[in-house]
Amino acid sequence: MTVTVEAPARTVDPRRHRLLAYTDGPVAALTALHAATSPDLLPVGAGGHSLLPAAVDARCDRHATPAGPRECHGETHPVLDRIVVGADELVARRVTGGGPDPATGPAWTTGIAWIRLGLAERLLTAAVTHLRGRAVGGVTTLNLPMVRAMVADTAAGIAEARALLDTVDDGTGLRRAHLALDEAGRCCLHLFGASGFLAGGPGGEVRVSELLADTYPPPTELEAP
Amino acid sequence: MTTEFLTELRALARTYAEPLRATAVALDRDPGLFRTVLDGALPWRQLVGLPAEHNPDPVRVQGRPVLLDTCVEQVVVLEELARADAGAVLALPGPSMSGFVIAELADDAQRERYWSTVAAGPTWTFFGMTEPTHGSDPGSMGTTLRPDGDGLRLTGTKRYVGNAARARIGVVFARRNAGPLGVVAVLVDTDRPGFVAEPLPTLGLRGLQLSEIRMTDVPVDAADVLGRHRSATRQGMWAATRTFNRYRPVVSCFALGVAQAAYDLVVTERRRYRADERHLLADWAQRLVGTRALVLAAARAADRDPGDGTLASAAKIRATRLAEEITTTAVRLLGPGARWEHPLLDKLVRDARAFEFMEGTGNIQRLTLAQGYLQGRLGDARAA
Ligand SMILES: Cc1cc2nc3c(=O)[nH]c(=O)nc-3n(C[C@H](O)[C@H](O)[C@H](O)COP(=O)(O)OP(=O)(O)OC[C@H]3O[C@@H](n4cnc5c(N)ncnc54)[C@H](O)[C@@H]3O)c2cc1C
Repeated sequence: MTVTVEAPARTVDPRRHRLLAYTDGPVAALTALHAATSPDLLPVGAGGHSLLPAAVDARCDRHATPAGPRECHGETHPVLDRIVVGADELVARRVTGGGPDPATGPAWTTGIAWIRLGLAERLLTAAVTHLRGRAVGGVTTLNLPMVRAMVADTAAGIAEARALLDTVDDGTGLRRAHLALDEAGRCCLHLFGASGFLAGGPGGEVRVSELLADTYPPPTELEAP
Repeated sequence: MTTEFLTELRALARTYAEPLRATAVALDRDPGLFRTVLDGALPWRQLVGLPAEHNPDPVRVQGRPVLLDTCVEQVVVLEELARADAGAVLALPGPSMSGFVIAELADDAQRERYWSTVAAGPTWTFFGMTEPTHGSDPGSMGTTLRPDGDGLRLTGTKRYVGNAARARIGVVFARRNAGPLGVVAVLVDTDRPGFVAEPLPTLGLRGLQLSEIRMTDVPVDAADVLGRHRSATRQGMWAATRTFNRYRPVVSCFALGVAQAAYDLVVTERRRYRADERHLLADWAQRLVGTRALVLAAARAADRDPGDGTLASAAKIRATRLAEEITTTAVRLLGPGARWEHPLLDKLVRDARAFEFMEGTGNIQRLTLAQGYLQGRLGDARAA
């Protein structure tokens, strides 16, 4: 087994990934996060899975393990699914023996949370635009009080996640930030009506965001430093 | 219907559901496989609510034939099937929602035409109300039915209509005149010129084949207009409302089935729980029982009076929320990467998202429930 030890790549401000996720979506943000934290390395979550843009996935010749990066040596990790996002694709793999790499893992996991924040903000912006263009009985849907309540609930979840990411650096805060983003995503998806249930619509990005959280969760209470 | 009767019916439905459980994940990946399920172990003809003359060998419970033509029978049987695979249940051929409209509005000739088509073999039907820009607000629909020479022409787009792409016949709601009374229901064969229906890729319930229908000057006869022998107040919107009131308990039972399936999965896959997790599971178990009771009460109310959807809205609110909550939380209970390790769980999460929208969104249900309460329709102490 080849184990390479690397310096933690903590220099990049993770807020950048949030903005990229907001403006350009999950594939661009994941690509940038990968380049900043784990070049050539397949980041692996605590369950032994990876989820990366296809182009990034294809470039990785090492994978993360709890004992540090390991060469793949031509070994292919089984593909679990391919998820289409716009014109791109994410590839999910099972990486036997893989797991978060102690050096690069924390920056990757934190970056994922920031990306999810940007995606939630992107979703809410899209929902508001969508509902500004719809009407119910002559009233703009966005101006209906019950709809405003849902916008507020989503915004509150996003605000909580952002406050946590801005201030805390431990597993508890990160875990709660993910939960707040899950709730916000679900609530916001309701705002889209059935268009949120189409594979190519905003529901597709919510699915990607949730799968990222499931694939790369922050450490549990027991594992947290 | 006694509790014992319904318990026996549920047990029987559970045996019918078994083959669906085995194919759930494969069908989600490739809904085209559904044909083999229909040709195989699932006796669809007995399960979709065909009338007695088209269902010569109905399910029997306590010696009685069960035609699944009441809401109560439907919610008991369909919850068990949805617990195995909600996508497959919604993919079943048969009358589904359009059958309710036929029951309300059709004359003898229309009824004969509809049922002889639907019962001839596995035949799908559809209920076309929602439009790209009008979902919660069907009264503003843009699809029109206009006179053209001796006949009529149907023009417009419907979106998010279940099973339409493979249907032979269905009901399209269209505007003939201004105002809510100007909406009529039209019985349409899908092979008419100008009628195109295509499936829309969805995140979940992939068996349902949610579709878009585009109609360009589709020729229609006066004989296709449902309820034309009825008064202006008993036309399209009246029948649609009664259909929604009857089908909402059914959608609620689908959501309940998905919630129960996610609970079952957690209980099967997890062995040891922390104390807080045990409490959570106990809470879910209680909420499943409570929601099941509410769904049954809503079904009874719909059978008694399809004009009142108050309890049906309550059932849908509770069942939908439970399905979303249990499926989402189950992901965390089953550990990192649970959605990869348990493809069935991933499917349940995706399927659960549909129920918020089917038959009216959560907000619309809240408005209906509040209005029904204020009008004293919940049979609460004020009315006693
Ligand atoms: C799986 C599935 C199956 C379906 N099957 C069928 C079918 O067979 N036939 C058919 O005709 N349709 C069907 N539909 C469509 C469904 O009926 C609509 O999605 C639903 O009515 C909501 O309409 P919409 O999607 O346009 O959302 P919109 O009406 O655009 O709603 C957007 C948001 O605004 C809110 N909102 C809208 N109006 C109000 C209001 N007055 N007060 C408060 N809030 C409001 C909603 O709650 C939602 O959050 C199906 C949908 C799904 C997802």
